[in-house]
Amino acid sequence: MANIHTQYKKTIYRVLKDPFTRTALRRAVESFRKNRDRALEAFPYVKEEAKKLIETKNQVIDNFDYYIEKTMKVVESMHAIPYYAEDADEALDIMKKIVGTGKTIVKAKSITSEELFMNEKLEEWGNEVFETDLGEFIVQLLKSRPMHILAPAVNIPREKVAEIFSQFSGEELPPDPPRLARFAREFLREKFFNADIGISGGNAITADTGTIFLIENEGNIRLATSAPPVHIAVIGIEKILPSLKDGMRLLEVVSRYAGYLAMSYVSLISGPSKTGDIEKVVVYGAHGPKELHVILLNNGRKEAAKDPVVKQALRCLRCGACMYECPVYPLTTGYWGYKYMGGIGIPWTAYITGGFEKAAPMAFTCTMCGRCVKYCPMEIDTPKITERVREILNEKGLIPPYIEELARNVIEKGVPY
Amino acid sequence: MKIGIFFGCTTRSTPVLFDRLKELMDRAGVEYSSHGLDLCCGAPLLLAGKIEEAKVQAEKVRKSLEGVDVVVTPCPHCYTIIKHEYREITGKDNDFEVLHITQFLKKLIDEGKIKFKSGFRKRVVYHDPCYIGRESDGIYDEPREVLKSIPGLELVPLPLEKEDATCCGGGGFVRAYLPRLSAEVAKEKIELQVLPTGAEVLTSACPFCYLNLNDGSEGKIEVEDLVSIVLKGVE
Ligand code: SF4
Ligand code: SF4
Repeated sequence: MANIHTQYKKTIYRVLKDPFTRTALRRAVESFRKNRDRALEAFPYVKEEAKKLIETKNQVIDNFDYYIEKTMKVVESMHAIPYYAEDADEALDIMKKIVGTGKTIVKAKSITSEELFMNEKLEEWGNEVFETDLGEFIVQLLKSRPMHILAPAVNIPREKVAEIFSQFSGEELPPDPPRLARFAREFLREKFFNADIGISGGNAITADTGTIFLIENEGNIRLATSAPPVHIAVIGIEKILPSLKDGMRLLEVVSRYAGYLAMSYVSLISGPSKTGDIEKVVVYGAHGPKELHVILLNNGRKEAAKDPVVKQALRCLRCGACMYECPVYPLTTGYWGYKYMGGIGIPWTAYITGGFEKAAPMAFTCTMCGRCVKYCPMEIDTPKITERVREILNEKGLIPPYIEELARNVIEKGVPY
Repeated sequence: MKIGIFFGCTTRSTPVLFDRLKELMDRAGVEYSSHGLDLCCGAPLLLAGKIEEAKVQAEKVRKSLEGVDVVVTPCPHCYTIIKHEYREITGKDNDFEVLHITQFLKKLIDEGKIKFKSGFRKRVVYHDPCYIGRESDGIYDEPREVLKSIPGLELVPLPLEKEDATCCGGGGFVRAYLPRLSAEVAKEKIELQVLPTGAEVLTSACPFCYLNLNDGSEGKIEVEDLVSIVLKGVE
């Protein structure tokens, strides 16, 4: 166990010395704050909308079984195929049956798929997988992992991107962002249209209409979910919202808090593509996918919902505001994390993916300063959750050795040092 | 009214903080009993998730404070834990009042017990400790008023302050777990927020902030605890 901590410390200390990460994050934080403030100023009612959304999210979190059943039913009635996966293994089994082998797959950015180690698995089964979000594409070619929930390649300089793109294409590409983006566009364009399957997550799915919300700026999600003949959406059960109206509310809240006046693309998908234009005979797969598979994933969410303190973490919209407002995250980036990162990543790692052992070093990287709470649209009290996770770490004997020693000193001698 | 000073482990083991606080209290003619020298408030227990043990510690501390009417502490962590968390974990109220040193100093100045002679002729920025600020009772005015009452001292605002202040990086036991990360957070704050103000001195009112900001300052700015500045102004 001591080893985990030594290793973690080494990694974090190494990142602290990386001047590029520092400059990139300073810039990112500055522009994020400016954009977010501008967006919230332009749409002042969004703060109230966020409060209503908190209530709605709580309602779902407190009644998971009811909403799962309702969503499954409505998805089925829309001629899509619903599945419920208890854990990652079940989700992968379902995926394996749908995907099979020898397929070309285009993927839209989704942390839920990170949770399942999906790319590794799909490749293991003999498929070819392409991440289509530019940042994720870079990360995939680097064989690294995303370092921010919204900007996965936030810590990679343009020279590095040019280097890996050049290596990949065999063509000398300059470190020029528009040129590099064009290369990715040209390369991926053909993949979208030749792919057998598109895989996405979902920002929300509604229990009244079975509508999947996908919010983005690049347009890759729209292509990945409409060009291939099969679309698979893997969605955490905490993303369920009671109604389409709630989805609209979420759209506004998530965009504004992520610093956008509006997101370029919002896809609302309720069922597969269909037409009745020839003699009113319903045919599936007109221009979009013929099949839509919706996998609702538990994977520890119900367990997290049982803890009165931890459950608020399930309200997270992944807007990223907390990370940019945190004093620690801009220095560590996603190295303070496993699949989920930063302060909010602590409960998500403990309960959803990684487990308490991986969450232990993360829990002791949060200064519990509470700055994130002030900026979180879902009013998630990360320091309180961290406190609770530390309590459980203590029960499990997973407190880092030096911290344990200080606490022992207090018990035995009255003072820590 | 009996006053007890709860020094706390970090102040007690940092001579500049410990000695100057005692000296300032003597100069102001404050009569007090000393606490928190060999008995910790229990912060390390709470931070390590040991709630049951923290309860026991809370009772020990309360016992050591028997007969005291007002507990004054220079440590925001001791302040919040004794004042608020003891009730949360034990379900019982304290039978004493708790003040942070900045609140107490404000009182002493108002009552004329602290009189400034030499003053402190420097441009100063004040860093808000999270645990008397956003994560606790929002004690933002008293430390600022204390500083402003020192002749010659010019208090310069920070771009992010009060409930919007950013942490020094030392809280939550991060300073014990990843000391270099803590220092780096302080350094980042100093570079991005403090140095551009052109201030000569960075002050705060927390022993952890003091140590951590000192580590992060790398000699680029003088770091002084608020009590030390008041003492210099009195001398
Ligand atoms: S915790 Fe809050 S601020 Fe952070 S990503 Fe989630 S919703 Fe956004
Ligand atoms: S409480 Fe933790 S996660 Fe939140 S801003 Fe402070 S250090 Fe970051």
